[in-house]
Amino acid sequence: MHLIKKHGQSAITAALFCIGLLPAQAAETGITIEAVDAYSCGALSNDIPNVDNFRTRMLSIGGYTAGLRYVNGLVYPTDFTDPQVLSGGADTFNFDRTGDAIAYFSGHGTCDDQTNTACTTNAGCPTVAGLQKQCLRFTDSPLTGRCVYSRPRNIVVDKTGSSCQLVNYSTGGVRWGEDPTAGTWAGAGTNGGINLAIIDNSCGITPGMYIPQLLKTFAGVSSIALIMPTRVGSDTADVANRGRAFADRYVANVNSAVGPSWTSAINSVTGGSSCAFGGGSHGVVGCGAHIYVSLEVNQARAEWANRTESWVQLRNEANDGIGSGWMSWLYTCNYDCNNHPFFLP
Amino acid sequence: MKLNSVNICLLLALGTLQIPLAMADDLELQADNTPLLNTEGFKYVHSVEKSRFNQGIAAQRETEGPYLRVVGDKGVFMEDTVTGATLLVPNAVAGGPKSTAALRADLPQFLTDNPDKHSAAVKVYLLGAGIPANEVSGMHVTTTMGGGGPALAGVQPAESKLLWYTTHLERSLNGIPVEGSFAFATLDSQGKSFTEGVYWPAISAQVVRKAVALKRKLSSPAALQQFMGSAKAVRSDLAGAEAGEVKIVHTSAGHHGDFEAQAVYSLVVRNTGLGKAQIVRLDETGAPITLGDEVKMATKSVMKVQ
Repeated sequence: MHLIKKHGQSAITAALFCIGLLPAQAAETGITIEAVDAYSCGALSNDIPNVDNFRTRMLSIGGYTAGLRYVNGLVYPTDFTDPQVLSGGADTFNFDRTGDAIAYFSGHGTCDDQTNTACTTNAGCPTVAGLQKQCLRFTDSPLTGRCVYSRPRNIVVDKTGSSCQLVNYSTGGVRWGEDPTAGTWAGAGTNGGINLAIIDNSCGITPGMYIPQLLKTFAGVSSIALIMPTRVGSDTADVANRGRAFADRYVANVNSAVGPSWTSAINSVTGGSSCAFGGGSHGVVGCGAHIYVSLEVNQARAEWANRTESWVQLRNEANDGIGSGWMSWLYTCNYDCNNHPFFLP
Repeated sequence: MKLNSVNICLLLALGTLQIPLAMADDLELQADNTPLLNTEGFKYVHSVEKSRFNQGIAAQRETEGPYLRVVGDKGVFMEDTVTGATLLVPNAVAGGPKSTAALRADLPQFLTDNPDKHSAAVKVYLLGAGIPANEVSGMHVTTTMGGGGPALAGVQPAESKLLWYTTHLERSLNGIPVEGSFAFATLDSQGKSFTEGVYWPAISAQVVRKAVALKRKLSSPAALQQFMGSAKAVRSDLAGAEAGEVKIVHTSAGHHGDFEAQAVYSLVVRNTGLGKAQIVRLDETGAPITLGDEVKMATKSVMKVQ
């Protein structure tokens, strides 16, 4: 049964807010999920179960509430873009709503950040105008790499079921988390709300490219969780148990930290294939990591958001990001990425 | 009374001895014609009593629905009583934003920066707790690292530092990997566990035998080609699949529906255009299978208007 139409619901909320029936700073507890399996550019099967399993598990104990759920053709490109930054953007009513704490997307991405250009040093990678480059380890013996670039990362949707559309969340119209508490420092108004975005797609972020690929995405959102392939040819696997593995950490311990919960969730995710440097799988085809990136006004706040903020604190909008001074990240690789570092010098 | 107990124990012992003899008649062979090592996979449920979790002196037990928790001063050990999966999750560091040095001091300190030493210690710990040693075919680590830097100056990823290793025991039955089971732990500088998870369900002898039979069946290139030919007739995208592997797969640790375990031929199918790689599992007939926790919910979305 179809319930309330999307924009009608938003209008009611806005009206209640204007006449003072809703508190100006209500707790942010909602969990919105969006997922696509019915792609015309390559069907998937586990994205919808993945987000459903996440939210069902989260809601199996108190604390959070159900936000929106859009799947397949109801996931629009404009769900993710900000109306102040890109005309027609409608994240205010979809992926970045006031009152939501968490928004989770699961579906395709693009891997055009990876190339098959061989390298042994960063300097050996051809320069591409406007992009940063890295020589990403490919084999240990002989020690060789492949060039990767800071190309914008994308969420892929298929609104019509006949043509896939890209949503550039690096340099496009995406800004998440802006609200009155966060302020307007990102130039996106104050009509967002989420405190955590989870992007469960292909090649969600390129190793070492955190600044060019995510700096503009933050507008108050405390942190962004992604999957990061760490070897050219590796990628996110289409598995149904990643979201629930993350939620399991909350259900076990509501006072645990959200960032380490995301990265350590890789330990409970199954499926995938082996990594050239040992290990592998855990929801990754090849080598990869769960990464959690936080942006804040200074180092202490960024590290707090990244390593310390608990599931309870995540619901408090007073903990929103209030500036873009420092970026912190935490990741867990599915292999020994300490002794097999990502980059060649 | 004492005599009766002795008699009962004697009968039980004799009965136990007879089980392997009876099963010996039913033994099948692996693909290389050696006898099966594991006729079934044994269930192991971890417990806080066997855990190296440092629960502290004032730990509390609480139950919430299917979740049984032991809440200590440093973390929570939880058992999902539906599946028997356990998970130890540490508390967040207390207090507000603090200096990097202070935060680092408050985070768990790793046992060692040598992954082999960590894995050896975890293996001793988890096998000692009760993980069946003959079902453990290997180990690997996952690696947690962190870093950061001033955003406008451009952060340097090379600044990432090792925070800790986590060691996983890999499960196999007769050389066939079991996907869905896990046993992992991270040990701190005191040898205590600060995060760990165990899900090691029983795998029936029937499933084990089916997996061995499937592996034997597909061991010849001609048979594999015929098998894949049938599968591709149903799913054309399998034409681009990478070489597969016979596995035993089962529903995941958090699945509260019926437990399922199946013998499958598992393949990775990369998308030729955009995005994620699929994992396709075929049963012994070449038909794709879906486990219970991979099924879409019937919930419908709120309708959108343009």
